[in-house]
Formats: sequence, structure tokens, C-alpha cells
Amino acid sequence: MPVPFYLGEIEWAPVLRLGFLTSLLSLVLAAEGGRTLIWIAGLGIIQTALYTGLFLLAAGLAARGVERIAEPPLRVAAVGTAVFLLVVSSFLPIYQTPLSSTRLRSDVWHLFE
Amino acid sequence: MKRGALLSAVALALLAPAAAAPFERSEERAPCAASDPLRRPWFGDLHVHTRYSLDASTQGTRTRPSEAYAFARGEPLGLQPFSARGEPGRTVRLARPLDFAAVTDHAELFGEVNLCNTPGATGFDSIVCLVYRGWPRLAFFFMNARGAPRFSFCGEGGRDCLTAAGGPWREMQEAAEAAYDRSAACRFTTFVGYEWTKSVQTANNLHRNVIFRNAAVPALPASAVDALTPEDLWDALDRDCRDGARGCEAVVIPHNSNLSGGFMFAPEQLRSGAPFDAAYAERRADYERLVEVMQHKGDSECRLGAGTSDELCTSELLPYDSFMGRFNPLARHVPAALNFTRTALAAGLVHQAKLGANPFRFGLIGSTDTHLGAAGLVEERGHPGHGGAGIPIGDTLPDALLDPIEYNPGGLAGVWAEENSRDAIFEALKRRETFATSGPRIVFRLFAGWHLDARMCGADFARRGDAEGVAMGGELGAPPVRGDAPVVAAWALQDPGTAESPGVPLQRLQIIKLWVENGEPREAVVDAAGEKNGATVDPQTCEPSGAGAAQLCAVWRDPDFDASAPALYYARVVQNPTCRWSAYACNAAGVRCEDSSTIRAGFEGCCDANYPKTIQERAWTSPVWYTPK
Repeated sequence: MPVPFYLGEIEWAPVLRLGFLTSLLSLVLAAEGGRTLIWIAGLGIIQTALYTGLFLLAAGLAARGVERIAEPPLRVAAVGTAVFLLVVSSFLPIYQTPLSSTRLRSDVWHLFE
Repeated sequence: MKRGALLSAVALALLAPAAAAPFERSEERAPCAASDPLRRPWFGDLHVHTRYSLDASTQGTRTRPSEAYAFARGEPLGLQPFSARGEPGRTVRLARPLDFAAVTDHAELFGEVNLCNTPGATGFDSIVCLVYRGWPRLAFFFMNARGAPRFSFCGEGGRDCLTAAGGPWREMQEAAEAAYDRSAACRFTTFVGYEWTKSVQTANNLHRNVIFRNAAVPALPASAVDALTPEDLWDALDRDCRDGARGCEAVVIPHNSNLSGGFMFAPEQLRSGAPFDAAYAERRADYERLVEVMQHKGDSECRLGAGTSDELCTSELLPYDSFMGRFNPLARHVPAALNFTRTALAAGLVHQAKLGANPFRFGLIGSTDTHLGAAGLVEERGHPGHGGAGIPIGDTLPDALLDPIEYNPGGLAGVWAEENSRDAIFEALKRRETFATSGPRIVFRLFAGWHLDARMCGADFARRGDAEGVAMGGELGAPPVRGDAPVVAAWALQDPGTAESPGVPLQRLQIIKLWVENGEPREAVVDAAGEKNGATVDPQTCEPSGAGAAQLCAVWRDPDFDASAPALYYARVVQNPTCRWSAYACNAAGVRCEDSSTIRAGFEGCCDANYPKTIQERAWTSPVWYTPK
């Protein structure tokens, strides 16, 4: 799912993309150092950790909810629906990626551009 | 007779030659066959970026300096998106060539960009260059924000990047030389230049363009990596140009004060934090003779509510006062008065009264700041975006507005010079005999004197202005008789346009007076010719309605003149309303704001109530100053 983050521009993108861009910046930071890079990469690291934590929390709550569903067919249906919605959403150009060089709006399959 | 031909005939009649106005020749060239001692208006663009600017290259701009000059001379230019075979997705062409232009790429990262784009070069395989080539938009931010020290791939003391910077710098000089018409035809003039790109705090803009008089230029441009303040820039120009290169001379042109957070015209020296003194003021006025009042990132003349109640200070205003404000809502502040040229001009008078010297003695120009290399491309209809830090264009042209809604196509610089040669135009820049336009080729001229005759609007405007007054950019001098008041004569001629894009009539000509009263700046805006004529334009069809004037001329005597108070006078003229670039784009995309289903993603700006669908294009003269003795 997309989240808002800030690395110089506001961007709506999955945490995975945030983590990817942060990794790139961290590599540059490791090679070059410098206050500006520390600041920008630091923003990315903090936000990646924050959103990852939030998603882990949400996933844990969702897992508990699924566990409470007694009927196995219903449980499978709930998991299947969640997976289906996540897959469908990954195909939708639903978030802006201004930091991308190639697209104004993108989807999960273009995470790394 | 057609309207355009009539306007040209009127212009020529008003520009008839008279007494010679000599200027110093600093280079070898054929004398221009057409030279006019009363001077002619030349239109140009002194702010053009090509592939050697990081922000342009990271947007896919491939234009070389030579191509930018060719475009300015009327040749077509291919723009991104480019196919795998290098074929441009779009082609643009000026309907009317420019008279002069300067490529002014950002001086800061010439070498870095060059190395990152040169296989086998030092640093080509560095992580910075890998990110630059693979994720240029990301690289745009951290490379721009880096400053000193340079990246490690630049080697000890940045040696390799400085060496690599010589390549683009030489190419810029060679392109300028190749495009400069040294024949007697004098069709086109180029200037070697660059942009010094310093920002402070939340990316508050202190950027300045440096324009050189001729081919004598420093070995390398002074970048903000090494010259950290404007004072450092002037030091570098003293060292490497005035004292270091024979025949070298430069003017420095601040721009986008609207994005400076007030720092551009702050009353302290930026290097030391000390208040201005006379020496500082004189030095600044000596280098910074002009200010770019209009370009694609907005109008920097004035803002309604920010120290003025001028109702026309509402055009092409940005909603933020720093670059970061564009990207981050937390840094978004409404620009205050100190961001605007009119405030600075008035503050300059206050400094004059206190110090005996005026640091803000600016003539006015406009330019585009194109990051596509498309010098002078100012048409609202079909505006292709400006490139640079705008919206990325990938493999295909996005189905969206091609520029942020708050941007515009930019303006032009007008210069009154005897001929179209480097020396003549540079001298005009130095004496501030310039005018700015928001795009249209409105011809605009101003003289001031003590006894100018109202009849000069009918004939011999320039001859009488020169003989009996001073041209814009000049100093009025003392009143010859006690009780005399300044008389300002301003004359504007509408842009004749082209067959495909006819010119738009003029609506109003105004005189703006700034003066000091009890140590405080004051302003008055006077309608001197024309009127609110009720002309309109249909934003759906862009069809104009209502009449206007082919030319406006006014001779205005200051009724409230105080000979003991410093003052200045400049003029502004506005056209009848026309469609803004976004209205053309939104109409073409079928957007109807009353039907939300037509507002596709990427066109949301079409219906943003903060941005009008219509504009009043305009022009400004440089001021004439009055300094009490």
C-alpha cells in the first residue's frame, strides 16, 4: 500500500520504494558523507522504519483477526480477498512518483525506476 | 495597410536616426550596416539552460549550446521524450527569431555532469554517477544540495571535476562564437555567460546570471561551490575577469527574488552580516545593474498585499518564497514584500538617502530561464513546459499539464542599442537602457526630463527624449529651475504578432513613482494613458473581445515632486486580457471544471481557483532616478 514520504519531494509510494530509494541514498552517503546526505538519507531511514513498524503492527492485527475466524473456508476467503486486493492495487497507477525519472504516475511494477 | 505593417511604420518613424551615440568597440568585427544613434529595440533571452545544467539534464534535456543558439535564430529544436534511436518526441520553433541570446548554464556541476555522462571518465562508475544516470530525479536533489566539498570522484580538491568543467565551458564559448554574426548584417548576437546558483536556508534563491561583454572570459566560471556569497562572486569576477582576463567585463543579473525569502534584497551584506555601507552599495550597483523581473518561475515586480495596494500586482505570482516551498508544504510561506523588485528599488532610495549610494539601482529585463534550451519560447499557446525542476517526462509525453500550474512560459529582455552587436547591447545593459516583457514583443521606451514637451508623443519621441531628457536607466540630475518637476514620457507599441498569432492591443500605460518621505519608502501608481477598457477574453474559446490601443504614449508631470527626496520613475503597460498557457492546455484536453469527470489526473491544476485562466501580458521599462544634491 502507498504511503506519503518526503525525500525532497512529497511522494506517494509503497514502503518498498521508500526503502529502495533510502538504500540508494545510504550507498551514496557511505561513499561521500556530508551533512546534506546525512539529513536526506536520515529522513528516509526514519520513515522507512516508521512505516515498516506501522505495517507490521497492522499485519499482526489482521493476522489475529483472521485467526479468530473459526470456519476454515471463511478464513481462506478472507486471506484470499486481502491478497487479491493487494495484487489488484499493485497494478493500479494509484500513487505519484515525482522522484521517478520515467513516469508521472506509477504502479508497483515500476517501483525501481 | 495591415496592422503589423502600420505598427512597424510607426516604430520606424519614431526611431529615425539623428545624432551619433558612440560606444566603445572591444572586439574585432565588421561595423553593422544598420546603425541608429537613437537606438533600436532588440529582443533577446539572457537566461537559457542546456544539457550542461544538472536540473535540465536530469529532465532529459539534450540540447547543446549550439542548438540553443540555432533555435534562437529560428531553427527547429527537438525536445524530449526521445526515442531509443534519439528521435525527439516534439519539435518547437520560434515564429520570430531573437536578436540576441546567452546560454547561462548552472556553473556548479559542469564537471560532475560531464564526467557522469562520459564513459571511461574518472567517476563514471561511481555510485553518484550511477544514481545520476539511473535515477536522475533523485540525483537532482542530492547533487544540487551538496555544495562544498565536491564529491569524492572529483579527486583531490575537486581537481578532476574542475578540469572536466572546462569541456562544457569551452563548448559554450565556441557555440557563442559560432552563432555570433560578426558580419555587417548583424543578424544575431550571443553572449558567453553562466548562472551562479547559490541558495541559503530553505533553498532561498540568490541566483545570479553573469553575462560577459565579449569573448574574453575567465578560464572557468565562478560557481557557488567555491564562491559562497554574492560578494565572493564579485571577488572572483574582479580576480578572474577584470584583473585576470584582458578585455573581460561582466554584468551580474539577480533573478527570482520572488523565491529568495527576502534574502536577495536583505539590508545586510551576506558574507559578513554587516549593514550596507557606501563602498558595498557602490560595488553592488556597479556589478548588478539589472534585475530579471519576469521569467518562467513568476513575476518578481510586486505582490498585491505585500507592501502595495497596486491592483495589477496579481499576475503570475508564486504561492511560496523558496524552492523548498514548492516541494514541501511545511516550508511554504507566502512571499513578503522584500521578495519583490519594487520593494528593492524603493529600499535603494532609502539607502541612497542614508549612505549616499544605492545598492539596488536596477534596470529591468525579462527572460525565460528555459531548461529545454528553447531560448525565447514564450508563446502561451502550446507551451511545452520549461524542463528543469518541473514535471519529469519519461519515454512518452505524459497526458498532463506540462508545467506546474504556477509556472508560465517566461519573458523577454528588451534592449535599446545602436546596433545588434555585443558591444552595443552590452553597453545598453550597463546603462540600464532596457525593458522587460512577460513574453510579447511590446516595444517600450521611457525618457524623463524637466521640460519634456507633450507633443513628443506625436513625433520625434526619441530625438526629443535624448535631446531634452535622459533615457531610462539614467539619472535625472538637478532641476534647472527651482520649482521644476520631473516630466516622464513613456511610449509603448503593441506586439504586431504573426499571421498565426496576431498581436494583442494595449490597455493601460502606467507610471510608477517611488520616493522617500520621512525616511520611509512611498509609491504611487498612475494611469497615464489608456484605461480599463472592458476588454475580455472567453476562457473557454480564448476568443478576445473589446478594443484596445495599437500604441500608448504619455507625457506626465509629477504633481507632488519634492526636490529634497530621492525618487525614481518607471512605466508599466498591460495588454488586453488573453488566455493563460494553462487555459489553452486545459481546453485542448477537454477539461470542464463544472464536470468533474473531465478533470483527469494530471489536469487538476486546470480547476485550481488560485490560478486564473486569463492574464494581462505586460512590459516594464527601467527606471529613471532622481537624487537630490
